[in-house]
Amino acid sequence: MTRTDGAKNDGGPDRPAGEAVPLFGSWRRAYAIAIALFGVEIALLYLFTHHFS
Amino acid sequence: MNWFDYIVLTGALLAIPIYGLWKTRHGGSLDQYLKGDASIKWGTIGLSVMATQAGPITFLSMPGQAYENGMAFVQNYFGQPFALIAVCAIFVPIYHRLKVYTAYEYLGQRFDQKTRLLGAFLFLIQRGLAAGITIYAPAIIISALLGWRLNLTICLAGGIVVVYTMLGGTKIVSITQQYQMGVIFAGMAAAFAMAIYRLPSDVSFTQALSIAGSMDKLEAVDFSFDFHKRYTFWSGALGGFFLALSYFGADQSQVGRYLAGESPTASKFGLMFNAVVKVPMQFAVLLVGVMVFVVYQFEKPPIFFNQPAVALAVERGFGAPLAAFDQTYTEVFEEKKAAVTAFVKARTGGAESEVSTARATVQRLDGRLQEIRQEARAVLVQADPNLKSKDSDYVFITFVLNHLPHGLVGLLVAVIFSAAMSATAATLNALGSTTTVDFYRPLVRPAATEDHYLLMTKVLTAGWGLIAIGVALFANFVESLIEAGNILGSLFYGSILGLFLVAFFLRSVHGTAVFVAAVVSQLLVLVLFFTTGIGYLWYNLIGCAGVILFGVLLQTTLFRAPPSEPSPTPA
Repeated sequence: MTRTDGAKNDGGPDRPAGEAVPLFGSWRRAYAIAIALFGVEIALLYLFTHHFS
Repeated sequence: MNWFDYIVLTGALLAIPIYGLWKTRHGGSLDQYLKGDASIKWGTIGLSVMATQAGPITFLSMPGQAYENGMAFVQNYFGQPFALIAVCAIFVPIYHRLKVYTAYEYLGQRFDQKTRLLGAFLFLIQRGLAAGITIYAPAIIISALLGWRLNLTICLAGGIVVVYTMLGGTKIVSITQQYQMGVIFAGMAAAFAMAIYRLPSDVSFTQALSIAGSMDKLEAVDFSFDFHKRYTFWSGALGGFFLALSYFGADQSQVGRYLAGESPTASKFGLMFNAVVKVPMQFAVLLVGVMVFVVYQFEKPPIFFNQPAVALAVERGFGAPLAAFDQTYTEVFEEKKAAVTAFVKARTGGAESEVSTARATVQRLDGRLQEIRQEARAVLVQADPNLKSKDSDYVFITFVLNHLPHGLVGLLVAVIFSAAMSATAATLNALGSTTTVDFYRPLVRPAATEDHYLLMTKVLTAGWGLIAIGVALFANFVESLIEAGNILGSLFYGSILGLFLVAFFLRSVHGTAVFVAAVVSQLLVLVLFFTTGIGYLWYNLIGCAGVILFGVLLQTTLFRAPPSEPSPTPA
């Protein structure tokens, strides 16, 4: 990344999506899988709440 | 507790640090001490991050929280998976690329030295006090219930963790945390199994859940937009996101854990493990509390779980009113127990109207029991106006001491102290590292040898350990274990997170503007805290938004940079 403000270091986020990741292919896919799993967890908690309340 | 419990407790507490010291006996470099030689695998990082966050509060207070208020607390963690993904995508690559030892070094590289020192200073104040609370919280409850001397309990628990953290550094923290988590998981699984075992033989696990559900203890997800409710999906997802982003991205006690990874991929996998596992883990811990609640539908619980407070009230002449409350409580409890049994029978074969009637009776009688408890509490407060601790903090440990067999009691007390030690170790390690890397090295001895910095980090780690023990020895301000840690964090996290968000996303804002903005925001948060009754979670947002807004405002007004010379045209 190119700095335009004269600060000492750019320090900006990099692009993890392009990085190869074991098991998942890319970080973008890994994050998507994590969010999908979280969605499943919420759905199960919701069903649990409604079943027993 | 008998001798067998003490053997289990002592073995669990001492064996793990001794093993850790043996595993790290050959380490001698500064890099290994501060970053574990960057050789730690993702599974260890995942458990280490989990242990650092959990602390004794999770395993001591949270089952009691579920006992009193049900599963709704789990929603507080709904923002965490998104925050951890943001940390993986934004923070981890930067920290690894710049090869920093602490998060605040990055602020120095992006802004300037004073902003780095400010971020590190805010962290040191907040974590220095929090480490004291982490040691004090389990010690005050367990020493009161077991009749141990409080100061001795604090010094022993604190002393062990200070010694091994000082000697082994980051690597020993990670190694011991994974085995301490093993003890914690085993203990909580045993407590869960014993709670189910203590249910009446004609009440199945599913029926136990139905009983808890009929008394509104299983509402784990609430999508309503009611801002008066403390826990909803939306408050957890939004408020929890900012709290978790600040904690995992800018708190060195967590940053130090994942920077010890053998690669950025190991660090990210450790964090992603927590993104996926955290909500189910908290659900399981809360479910233990719910099962304890169901057990106490069939076995009469004490009217007040904080028995030392009851004993003090009796000693001060309030025995007669408390005995009267206890008698009424027993009568209503027996009535409710019969109603719960009728509810279970109705659920297994009765008509829907029968189930509804039985549920209404159970709820009415439970409400009556709560009223009696409130009246009894008023007597306890009359006897001791300084009574501050919440009764829910005593629920789980009372169940453990009264209902678990010997051996398991020792294991569960070890769970509480293991959690305290693992969280304290990570904090002391971070405090020592930050003081050396961000203050001592740049300000006091910029050109000393690596061996000198290693020695100073050990000395400073021990120094922070002594401060934490000192805070614990003189602490008597903890109203509730869960709230004390969250309030302290919320007062400082907002400003720290604001510094990092400006660093990442507002490239035009420079060091002086963001420094002044952070100081003003932090002062604003403290003034609001001492003069208003705003809910503490809002301070995360106020502090963070303050740094961003004031930073942009100051950069475009007072600290506007002079127009730069036009860049040369590329050839």
